[in-house]
Amino acid sequence: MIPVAFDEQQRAFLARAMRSFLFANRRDETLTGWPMTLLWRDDGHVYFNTYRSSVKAQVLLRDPRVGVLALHGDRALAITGDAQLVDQVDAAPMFPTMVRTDGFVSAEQAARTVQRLLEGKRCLFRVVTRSVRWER
Amino acid sequence: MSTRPDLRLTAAERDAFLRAVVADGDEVAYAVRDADGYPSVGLCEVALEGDMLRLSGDRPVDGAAACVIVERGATYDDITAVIVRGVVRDRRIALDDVVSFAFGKLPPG
Repeated sequence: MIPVAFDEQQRAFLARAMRSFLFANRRDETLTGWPMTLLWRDDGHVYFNTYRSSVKAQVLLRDPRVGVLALHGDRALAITGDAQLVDQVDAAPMFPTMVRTDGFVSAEQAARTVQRLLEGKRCLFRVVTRSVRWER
Repeated sequence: MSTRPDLRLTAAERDAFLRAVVADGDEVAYAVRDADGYPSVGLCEVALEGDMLRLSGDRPVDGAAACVIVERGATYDDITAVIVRGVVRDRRIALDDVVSFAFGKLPPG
């Protein structure tokens, strides 16, 4: 699948948006979801992290089809795509610049997240975008 | 052996939280499963009708597997969320399969 590209306005939005909601399929094909802190490195994908042992990680590894709603200010961006686990070797150099603080996430919280990513307790997923539209 | 702190809302806390969000007219995030099995996301207002949440708007959602996330939090550390999973019938989703948490219940440190 060729990922759908974000346009310039969407990229600028995603560079600022930290709040998001991630939705995925459970085994019985019902949906579940989580509030998430969005990560962005302007390489065409949104990213997020979670504990490697979490239910969330297991859900995404079993069925990668996801929906993401990113929020910032008055705007909201709706994305669908496929979640891919990023190899730890590739992910480690990305972490320090991806985990941001802007008042929503404290510096202490961000540092703790980076540490747990580097230790491998947390893992990184990217979303290969299938569709994108402004919800608001 | 460490034990995880219980971050769940009590039934009373959950009801109070939902009533506050509804009263303030806050939008909530939701997703419905599309024909290809992807969660198609959106924002809508909700109303409480007994033990159901009614979704506003005119997007066709009936019969679809759905998830609604009612969430508030000025910072990551004070996020409170109620997550409702189920199937939408007549624009309503039952408050049967619900998880909730409040990061504010985490012990300091």
